[in-house]
Amino acid sequence: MFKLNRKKLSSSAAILAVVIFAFALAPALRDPSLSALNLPLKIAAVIGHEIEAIIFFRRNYYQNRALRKETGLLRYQLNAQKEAALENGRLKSLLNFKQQSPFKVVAANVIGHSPDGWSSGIIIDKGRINGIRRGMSVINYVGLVGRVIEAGASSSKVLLVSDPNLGVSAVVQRNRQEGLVCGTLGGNLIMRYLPQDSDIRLEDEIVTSGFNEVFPKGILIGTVVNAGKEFSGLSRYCLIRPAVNLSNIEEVLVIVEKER
Amino acid sequence: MRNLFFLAVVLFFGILQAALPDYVKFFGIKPDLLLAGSISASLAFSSGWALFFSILCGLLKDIYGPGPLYINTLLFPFWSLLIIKFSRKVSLDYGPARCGTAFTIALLHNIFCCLTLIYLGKVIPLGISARITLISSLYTALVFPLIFKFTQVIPYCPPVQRAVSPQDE
Repeated sequence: MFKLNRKKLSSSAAILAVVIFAFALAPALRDPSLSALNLPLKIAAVIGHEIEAIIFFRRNYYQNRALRKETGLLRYQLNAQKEAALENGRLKSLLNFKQQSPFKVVAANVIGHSPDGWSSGIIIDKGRINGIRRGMSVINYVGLVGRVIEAGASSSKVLLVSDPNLGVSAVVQRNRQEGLVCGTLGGNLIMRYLPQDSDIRLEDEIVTSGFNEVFPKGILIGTVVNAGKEFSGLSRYCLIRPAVNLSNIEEVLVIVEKER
Repeated sequence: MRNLFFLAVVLFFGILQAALPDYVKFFGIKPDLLLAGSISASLAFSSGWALFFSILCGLLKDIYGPGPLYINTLLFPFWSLLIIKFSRKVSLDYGPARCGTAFTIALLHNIFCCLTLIYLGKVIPLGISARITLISSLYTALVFPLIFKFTQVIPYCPPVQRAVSPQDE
């Protein structure tokens, strides 16, 4: 039979008190711990990259050769684009268009990842002293990455768009159909609450709508890879392949000032 | 000395858990080194130290994680207590038995995390949740013996016992 004497009761109460104390202390410990662990995390990330470079030397060598060729081609294309951009600027000023200022961004390196499979987040090496605040959008040269959920003094935590806790108001670029993009913890994202009669096609590009003012308008999220009807039959959903490879992301850009 | 050494090991694994490189991931999933550390502590240390290490492991995992809930700080000591109770009833001196216990605890932990997300209204496809639950549990159980070895690097020295005379007996 289960007996509960005074000694057992007091030890159980002590354990419970310690656990509750640690639970209550956890939010206060988060910021100083992250700051204290910033340097070891950076060192561990550098060591990890060095080991990866040694292990995958052969792959890196051939990849480097292919990338050099691609860089040459892209440089040529960039020059052509620059010419087009200059021409566009001249024409815009001629037409007296309102000049849109670009985003002001802070570049950051990824120094840590989410510790388990049930969440999708990263730790970056820039924090409040670099102007990063909670709620700022995080992008990449390719598209949307996520949102800052915690800004420490010298490091911050970013919730990736593949986490189910992050919802992004988005539109289909082709026909402006609105929906909500959420993560699934897998390789794809899901866009929900699309109207029943929405015209969604494969390879349609999904961009941020800018309706909720959290994410700037027009940032690429991904492309549609599958579409279907919700179980309730009231709306449609589509699966999106993210534009950014979120599994091995190394550098990000935090938007510290949105376009005016 | 043994406790201090394991404390350093736990802190090291805490950093490693967050900075684990991409190539050690299996199907995008990495082992839960901190949970394995907590289980190792429960099997190798006294109840007090085991609880201390479990809370520390849970705290470290919650500090690195993006989740708003401090679920690991609560769950790790609970699993630790469960193992301590279980080890009093069943012998866990045999290696595979310890691995089996680690797998069971990791599986229970992952199921609990999955149910918490579902309860919070998040949509996770069944295939993905099953994949994370099973692969993460298996991977944790596989790396568990390596982490358990760290508890045995410095052998346990029991406190010096008082000589007992036949009269005392």
